[in-house]
Amino acid sequence: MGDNTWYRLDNAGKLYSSIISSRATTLFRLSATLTSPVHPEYLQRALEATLERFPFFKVQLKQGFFWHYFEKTDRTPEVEKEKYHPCISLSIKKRGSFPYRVYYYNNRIALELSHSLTDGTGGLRFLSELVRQYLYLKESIPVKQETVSEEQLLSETENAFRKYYNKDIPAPRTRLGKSFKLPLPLDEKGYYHIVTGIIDVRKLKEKASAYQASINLFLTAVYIESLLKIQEKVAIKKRPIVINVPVNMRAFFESDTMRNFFVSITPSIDARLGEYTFEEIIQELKIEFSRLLTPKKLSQYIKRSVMGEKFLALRLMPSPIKDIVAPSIYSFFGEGQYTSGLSNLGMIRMPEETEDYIERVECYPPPSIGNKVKAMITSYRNHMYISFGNLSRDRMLEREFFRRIRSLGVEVTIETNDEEM
Amino acid sequence: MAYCPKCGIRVEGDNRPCPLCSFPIPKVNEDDTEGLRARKFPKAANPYPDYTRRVLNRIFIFTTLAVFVAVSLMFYIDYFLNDRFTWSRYSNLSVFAGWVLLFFSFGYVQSYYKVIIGIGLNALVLLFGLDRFDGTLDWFMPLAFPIVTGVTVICIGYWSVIRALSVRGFNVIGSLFIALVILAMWVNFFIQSYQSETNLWSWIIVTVLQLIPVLLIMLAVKYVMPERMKQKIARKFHL
Repeated sequence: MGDNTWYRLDNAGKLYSSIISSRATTLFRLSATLTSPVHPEYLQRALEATLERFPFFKVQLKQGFFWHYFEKTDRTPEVEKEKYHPCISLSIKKRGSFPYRVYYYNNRIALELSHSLTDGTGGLRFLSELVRQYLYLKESIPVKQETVSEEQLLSETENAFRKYYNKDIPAPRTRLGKSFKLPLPLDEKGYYHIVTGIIDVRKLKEKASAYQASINLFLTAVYIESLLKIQEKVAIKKRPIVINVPVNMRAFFESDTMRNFFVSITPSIDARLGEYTFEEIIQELKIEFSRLLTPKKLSQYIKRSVMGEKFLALRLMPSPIKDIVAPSIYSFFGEGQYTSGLSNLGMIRMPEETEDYIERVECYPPPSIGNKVKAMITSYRNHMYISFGNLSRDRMLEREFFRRIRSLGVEVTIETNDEEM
Repeated sequence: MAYCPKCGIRVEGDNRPCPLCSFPIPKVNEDDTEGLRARKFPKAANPYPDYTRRVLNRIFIFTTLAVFVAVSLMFYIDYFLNDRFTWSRYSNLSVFAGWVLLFFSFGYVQSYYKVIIGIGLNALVLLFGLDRFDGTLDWFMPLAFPIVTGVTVICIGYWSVIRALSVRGFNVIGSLFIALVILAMWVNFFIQSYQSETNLWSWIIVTVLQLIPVLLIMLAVKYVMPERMKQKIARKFHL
């Protein structure tokens, strides 16, 4: 960022900043539960220290004439005791508001970030630094205070999409068409229902390897199978089940960026072709995953991601108008085409010196109207946390999914954020 | 730790419904752990109703000020040009009636009965003024008064019926049709009698002819329409 007092959003951030509403807040939560209650003062100081390390998080979202942008600010965000439903009730476009917030509640430190700022990987780096700084103050763990060089800052704020954008390659051709939608009524504004299932990773790994599949692929298959079962029960006309699976591009293209750097692939099972057995679903997904998850194919997805932003008519459109049309375009071409989303942040590694103090690391997906239920997965130590975020009170997908996991002989512990539970 | 007998999943607290299927999970822990268990989440507040109220209040105050300025300005211009109030009485009364309508529609009065009566009175005052300002009462008594009073009474009746219904669903639409038909009859009657053309028999026949298709539609909805279609309509109209 250098001496600049503002910086551009990456192309995913541009889209997310335009679709923000009181329901689709684009906020996702990453939280670390510690072994002892959180001390707010230490946490505040830790946050300040973390912002010293990542100065590009000390920003506010502003509206430019054509696009939104982040402007540097001298103000410091304050940690708050958790009081609202997760991932909701924060208007980041309001003057003086930050595109994220830090909550504490009992033993938990929760970081809620807008997707316009960063993705899961960037958020996790911020969270682990925050927890490290906090534990340094609270438990006096040894922390080497590092100084960041200008080059490092530049590489952490680079727009990796642009770096790997190749304008000469064709964008992927994937017409998804209409997909199955869960018939869920929206709950009132301000409510977001979370269901977290806690599973032993080793047990799940055993099950997955029995099908010669990775855990991620195995869970996607269970997810699709649950959706197929629901479709069987509720829908008259069968439609394909399409899942939106974000892929962390840092695993394929070298980048240190802390901004968005992911693309979405959309594995699908066409229910119109007949009944699928679990083995068949796994087989299809294996082919789909291995076909798409190569740097060559993924660079096509980068092309598609950047292409939209480069479209002249869109660039010339004033940003308030973009804000009006973006939600419809997003729901028509984006989320409208998926049945649901499943995002796996994988095995979380926290800094070694902090691990003894951290009990668990969880993440919740951002609420969205197009896909009222979405799920996000993290694994920490021996446990996997599968969190469903739901804008409806109806838990048909959660029920079907965890019952299926249970029927595979894997024990599941369920937690929810609903007060009546 | 307790298990849901239907889902097979494990939950921390017992003696409560299963979070996935609402099946009552029995009490299994001998000692009362409820008080000891730390809450995982706070009792969440919802800021949106307050926020919406604040925005509405702001809009209402701004509109009130604008109405006040406009009314004063119109009175002033009218008096300045004509040395008395002429056209401004009409425009200002209309603007004022609009403001009263806004007041009721912004939810400052909670009871629907009061809102309906308030809007009815507002309409009566407006129409009385518009008719009376030229010095005579022409159409207010034979037309405006009975029609507005009738509409108010029908609305109150409709709302009372809706509230009293034990099963809402299609009954809401059915009663709406009945209310609309009665309303049409009522309005028709006074317009025709104002034009001195009322033939009671033809009026009754026309009314019955109006009612028959409505009745047929309702019967068809109740007995002929397939359940799936009913559910779809119920879903679309949030019944």
